[in-house]
Amino acid sequence: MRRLFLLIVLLLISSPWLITLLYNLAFIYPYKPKLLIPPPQEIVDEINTLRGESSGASSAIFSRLLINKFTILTKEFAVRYLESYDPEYLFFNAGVDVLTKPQGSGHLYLTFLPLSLYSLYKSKKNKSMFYLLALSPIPSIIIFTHFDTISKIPLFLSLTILASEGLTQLLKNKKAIALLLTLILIFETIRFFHNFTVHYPSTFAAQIYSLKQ
Amino acid sequence: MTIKTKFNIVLLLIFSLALILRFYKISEVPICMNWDEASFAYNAYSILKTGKDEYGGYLPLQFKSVGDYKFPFFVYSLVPIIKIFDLDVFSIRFLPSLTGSLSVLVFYGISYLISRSRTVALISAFFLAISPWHLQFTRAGADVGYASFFTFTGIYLFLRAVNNKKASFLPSFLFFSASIYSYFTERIFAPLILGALTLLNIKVVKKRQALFAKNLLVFILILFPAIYLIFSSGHQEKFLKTTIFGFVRLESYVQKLLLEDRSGISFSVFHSEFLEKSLVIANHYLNHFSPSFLFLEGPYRDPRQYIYQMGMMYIYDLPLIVIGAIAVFKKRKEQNLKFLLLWLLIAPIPSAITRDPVHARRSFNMLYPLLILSAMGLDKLVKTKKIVVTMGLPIFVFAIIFYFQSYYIFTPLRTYKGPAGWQCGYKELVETTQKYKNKYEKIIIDTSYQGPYIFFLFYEQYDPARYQPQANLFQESPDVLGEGVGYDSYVFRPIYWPEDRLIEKTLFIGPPERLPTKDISEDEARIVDTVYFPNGEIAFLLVETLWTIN
Repeated sequence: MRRLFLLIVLLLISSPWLITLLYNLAFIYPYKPKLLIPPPQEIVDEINTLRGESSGASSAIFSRLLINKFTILTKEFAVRYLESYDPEYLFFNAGVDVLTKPQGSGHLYLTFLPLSLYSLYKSKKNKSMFYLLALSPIPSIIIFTHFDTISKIPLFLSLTILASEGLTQLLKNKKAIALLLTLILIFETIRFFHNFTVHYPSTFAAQIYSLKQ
Repeated sequence: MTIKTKFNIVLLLIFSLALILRFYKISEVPICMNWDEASFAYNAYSILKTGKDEYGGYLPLQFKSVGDYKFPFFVYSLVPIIKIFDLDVFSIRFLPSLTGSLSVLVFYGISYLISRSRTVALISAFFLAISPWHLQFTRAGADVGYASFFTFTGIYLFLRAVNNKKASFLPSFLFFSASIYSYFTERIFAPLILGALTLLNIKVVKKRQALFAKNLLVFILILFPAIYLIFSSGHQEKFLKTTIFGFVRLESYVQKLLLEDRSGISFSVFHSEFLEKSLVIANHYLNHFSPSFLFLEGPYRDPRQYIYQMGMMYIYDLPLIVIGAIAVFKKRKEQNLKFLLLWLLIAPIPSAITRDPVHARRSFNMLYPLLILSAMGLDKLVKTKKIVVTMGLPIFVFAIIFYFQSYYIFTPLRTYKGPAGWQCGYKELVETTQKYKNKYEKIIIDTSYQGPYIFFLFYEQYDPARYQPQANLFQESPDVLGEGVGYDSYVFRPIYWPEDRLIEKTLFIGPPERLPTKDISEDEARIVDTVYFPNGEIAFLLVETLWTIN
């Protein structure tokens, strides 16, 4: 248990998302995201546009039944929930927000993926891990901006816990694979820190400058 | 009436549904014909009339087209269709729609062999009949739907051969051959899946090794021309153009990294081409399992692949696939289920090695194992939690209704324009141009919407025997697709109006971006005609220059 806790802390403090977020905290704070509720004008416009197009081919009542605030908002919630699990966003290319996007990587290390999957596989009798993973993206569903990093922090924490648990289990059961994944994880960490210290300052400065322009 | 008869009746009804969904308004939706379709059709027409492709190559094994070197089987299959139905949008879309409908029957067979359940097989067949992903690529004249039919028929016949001591593997190999000659990704997928099938059934193969070896030899002989073509310049060009292996990093990007790293070792360790390309391939591979791609947005960057506000599958497929996958994973030691999981893991590989982050056409073979998993999930849910199925019924109905609204109404309104879209406007343009064709020595047609030459050839039903001596493909670089240079009085090239307006007595045809009306002054040019998109927006202007230089 103690080893697991230490591992969680270690993986957390070396996570790309946390380091990038802390580095840019002054620019991010205060965090005041645009919400989906009440529905912003963009959603209302989309509903009206789709209804108009649909009415041309079918009845107005049918269009209203199909396209309304409930159906469109439900879909928008589902989009924001499910996009949290996007592999590119999580492990490769963390969106477009220059203030929260780690350089040359996703928010989490790629090694977290097999470790998390192994953890879930080993936890099949204990459903708490599944619930943790399923519930953690919920805060992000009401945020208007897609791939909003701050609201996905619970998910990043969940995956970090899962990855730590997975690595702990692997060290018990399959030492060779655990060693291999650990080496890859170490390489990923070093690579991230190299990008962050060497390349990120110039990338960040250039993008902040162009934003100001 | 026996249970088997009842199942067969239901299967027949599902097949009828598949036929209706694939042939309903087939010439009108997708909204227009794109240049791939036009190229396939015209080359088939050229073979029909002359036995040669558009460039005069006699019965070629690959079709140069716009520099993408299309594979031959689909083109040759179109020849009799064009003979019967003439050179028309219906002709190009007929075969994929027919094989798409027949796929439902074969898929029932595969699903039964894998799941050992007629119910699951029937549900799978139904899901395929109404599948957005399958409809997208079997309604339009896409070679992928056609090729895929042969691939999974090959899979079905292999599984049948494994289960039947007297059956030969040759029919399976013949179908795999047909798919390999039909589409690029099948050249990667088919050998991999065949390898998986062979390894998983190695005991059976060893018992019948003599027969297997004979059949395999025939297979290799049939494929010999294709294997030989792999080394041709056309195929290599296509391979490098499409895949990540041919991608060269920008010099400015590399120099920036080297400058900042200040150490060659650091650059080699952290930014090597091998590492970056490996990460890209891993990224592309995993993207195909992304919920965004499968259930929410699809490949939204490519208008010809996506359906507005939808993924490639219905949203209700997500929980069903998860339930089905868990059930399969628990029984993963069963040979047939092991194969299902392998099929799912292998299917995205051909797409993962290409430059696009995600591609619905190239990963098309993923659809089938996903649908079987979805069917298994539904079957399990019906048996264990009927109330959940009842509660989910409104979502099921809503999802299907929304899909058809999107496919027939919303998507055409958003994807009609440009080379990435369905390239509308060309049919009307060619018809309009006929009025002016004989009045000008030269008609210059802009190429910014890509591929005008093939549309002109198609809609004019231009005699291939007259075109072949004039055929000439211009490519700015080997890395990009080309354009036909022209024929008769037509010249196809980019228009640069500040200079072109000085060319005497010429008809220019191009979009408003290339022929801005504010720059067309009365004393030097005039608009003679206009072609519109379906929504009333101007697609093309026909402008004649009035200069006469003495």
